[in-house]
Amino acid sequence: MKEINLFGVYFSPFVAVLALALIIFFALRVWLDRIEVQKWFWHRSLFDAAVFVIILSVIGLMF
Amino acid sequence: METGMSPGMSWLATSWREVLSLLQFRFMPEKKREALAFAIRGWVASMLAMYLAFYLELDEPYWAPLTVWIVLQPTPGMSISKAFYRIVGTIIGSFMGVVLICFFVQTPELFIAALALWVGACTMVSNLLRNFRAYGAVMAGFTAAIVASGAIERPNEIIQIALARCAATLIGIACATIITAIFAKHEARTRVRMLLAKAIGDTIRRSALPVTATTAERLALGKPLIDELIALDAEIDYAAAESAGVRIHEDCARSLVAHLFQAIAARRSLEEELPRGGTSADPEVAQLLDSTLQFFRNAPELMAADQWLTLQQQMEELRRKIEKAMPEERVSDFRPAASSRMVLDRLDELLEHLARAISDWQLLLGGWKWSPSLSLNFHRDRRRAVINGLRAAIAVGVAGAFWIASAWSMGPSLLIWVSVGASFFASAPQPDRLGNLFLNLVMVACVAAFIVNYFVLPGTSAFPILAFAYGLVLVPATVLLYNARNPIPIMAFCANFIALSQPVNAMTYDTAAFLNNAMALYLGCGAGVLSYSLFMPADPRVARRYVVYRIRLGLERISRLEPIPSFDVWQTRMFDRINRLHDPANPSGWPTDEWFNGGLAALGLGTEVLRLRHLLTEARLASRTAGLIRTVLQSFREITARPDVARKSVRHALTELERNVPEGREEKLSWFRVRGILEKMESFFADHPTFLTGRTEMI
Repeated sequence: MKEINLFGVYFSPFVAVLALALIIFFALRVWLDRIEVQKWFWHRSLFDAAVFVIILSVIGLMF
Repeated sequence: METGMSPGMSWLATSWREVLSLLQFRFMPEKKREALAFAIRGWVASMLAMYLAFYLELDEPYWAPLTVWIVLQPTPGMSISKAFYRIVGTIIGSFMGVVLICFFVQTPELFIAALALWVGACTMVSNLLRNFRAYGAVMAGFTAAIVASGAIERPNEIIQIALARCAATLIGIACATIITAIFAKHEARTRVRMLLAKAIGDTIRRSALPVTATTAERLALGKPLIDELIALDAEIDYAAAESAGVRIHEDCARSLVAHLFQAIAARRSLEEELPRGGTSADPEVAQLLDSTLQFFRNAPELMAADQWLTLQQQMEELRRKIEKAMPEERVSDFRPAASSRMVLDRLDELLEHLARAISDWQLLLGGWKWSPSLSLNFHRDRRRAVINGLRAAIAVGVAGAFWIASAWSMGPSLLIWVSVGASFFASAPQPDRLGNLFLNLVMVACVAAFIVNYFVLPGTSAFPILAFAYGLVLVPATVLLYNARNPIPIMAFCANFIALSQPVNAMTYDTAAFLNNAMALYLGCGAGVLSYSLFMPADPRVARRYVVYRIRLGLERISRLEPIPSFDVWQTRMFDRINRLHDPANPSGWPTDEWFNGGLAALGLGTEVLRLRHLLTEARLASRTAGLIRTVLQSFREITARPDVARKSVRHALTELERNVPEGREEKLSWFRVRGILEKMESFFADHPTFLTGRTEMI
């Protein structure tokens, strides 16, 4: 992956992966909230953290 | 007790329970245990942040643990909420820091002026926002100062410096949030539900007060209830950040609070009407009033038994009876008939809003369901925002001028701390007092940092020992300063302790540099705090006069704006204003209760203006009645400049209205309503003749 050039400032591609993962995660979280996923999991915050890591890793592996 | 366990097993189980209770610090009182848990969370998060910043070899890694102490909050919801706005503030501030350096690095005077304007603008915006959004705006201000001041002597490295500060801040936020989210108690959902149920119960108890209740009795219940409802906005915010269960019902919870505000307004309106008109002329109205009050007296029992459905059915039944009542057709005299109509309308409104609040409550207990939301609105003190912004800009400008004139090597540090001191406490009710407390704790932090830096750290070589040494200072200090409502003292001590000890990978022990840094920090914060007393210090009298001015402006706007503003916008904002008028440190000649009553009456006046506008557009009116309403509304459009005109116009309209009684049934019903509204407006001007004039002797 190439570095991202933003007006002459170079950013690590990980920043883009992180941003994309955050967007997907927040969209997914709205749906998870509505189906009340916390009823099936002991610790919702840990579950959210795990979901975010999975999304981040999948995107990282895809590119 | 027979448990079926062998003696050995039983001993093991008892010992394990004892060990567990020791590990959970059960031997300590609840408050102290909470403080200790908070201190340990803070220490673990800050050491984790410091380790990561060292590991990633960031420039000036101490910004990461320092950030932990700035964002650390006792509950996960507050922590997440604050962290989010701090991230936004940091990113905007870092970007602005880069912009300032790019444009003004060659011209220090312009650099100082631009930085002062930016810090001033951010302080102003923060004063117009609520909860942690305000904090995000302050952050944007002083992060620009942090980034730009760090890069002023090496502008070529500005991007690296901005990214390093940004990265350190984000690491700090992530560590504080993750540790709090995982290890702190998740109680927001239960707490917010408990508070909402209490608010419904208190509103019903307030509604159940007998008609003959004294002002003192009403205020004893009413004042704490308004405070409670206003505080609920922040509670909902934090709970939504913490709990998915609250997040899906956030709108619903706000709508519930807005309905309770409207119910209180309706009850208040009823109380004003009853002594004036009375219900003796119509036994049916008197009976309806009695049965509604009786229902409110019985309601807490039904609530305690969770019989919400029965409550709603009884409310519907009462509303049906109220709808059928037609006092206008029985009573021949205008005055009691108009008054009876007013009483019935307000009773119906009171029941309607309570019924809606209860249906919102039921939605809250269930799963996600789309529901229309009612927003909560708050008073924005623009005057104070401008003064605070101006003050912060002047303080930064003066500090910059001092730096240019003295060429002090710690000038950039001074700029950072002046920005912090002049903007951080600006939105607090007594910024100078809070600032002084902050300064005292900075002094203690200086001494503690000196001892740790020169007597403890030189003997340490590994990170665990360094972390332990920091824990010896941070944990006891946090336990001592812990106050779940106000984390500023902890932040003042712990963040400044880290800023002063400045742990870096290769520690240098330069006493002159340490003292210079400490002096810049203390002088900077001190100058910022001093500016609160020197430049336009907060004056409660002027602040109150301004609130009254904004009430007039609000009345003017609701009589003019298209489409007609909704009742909840006006009423929820007015309750916030009443809360500000009802200042415990009241320096005016008027008793505080009169301010409270005047504010509530002005809320009622605005509600009547909105009702007149709705009647004008929705009801069938005789042409003369409609003409008189238009004249009254026109006079309210001028109330900011000429407060007396509205009073005269209302009097004139009432006289004219009595001369023109319409014939048709619908027109007559509207006529009674208009008459009741105008009478209420007139009584406002009679009971509170000087409230809206804003004359200084009354303030």
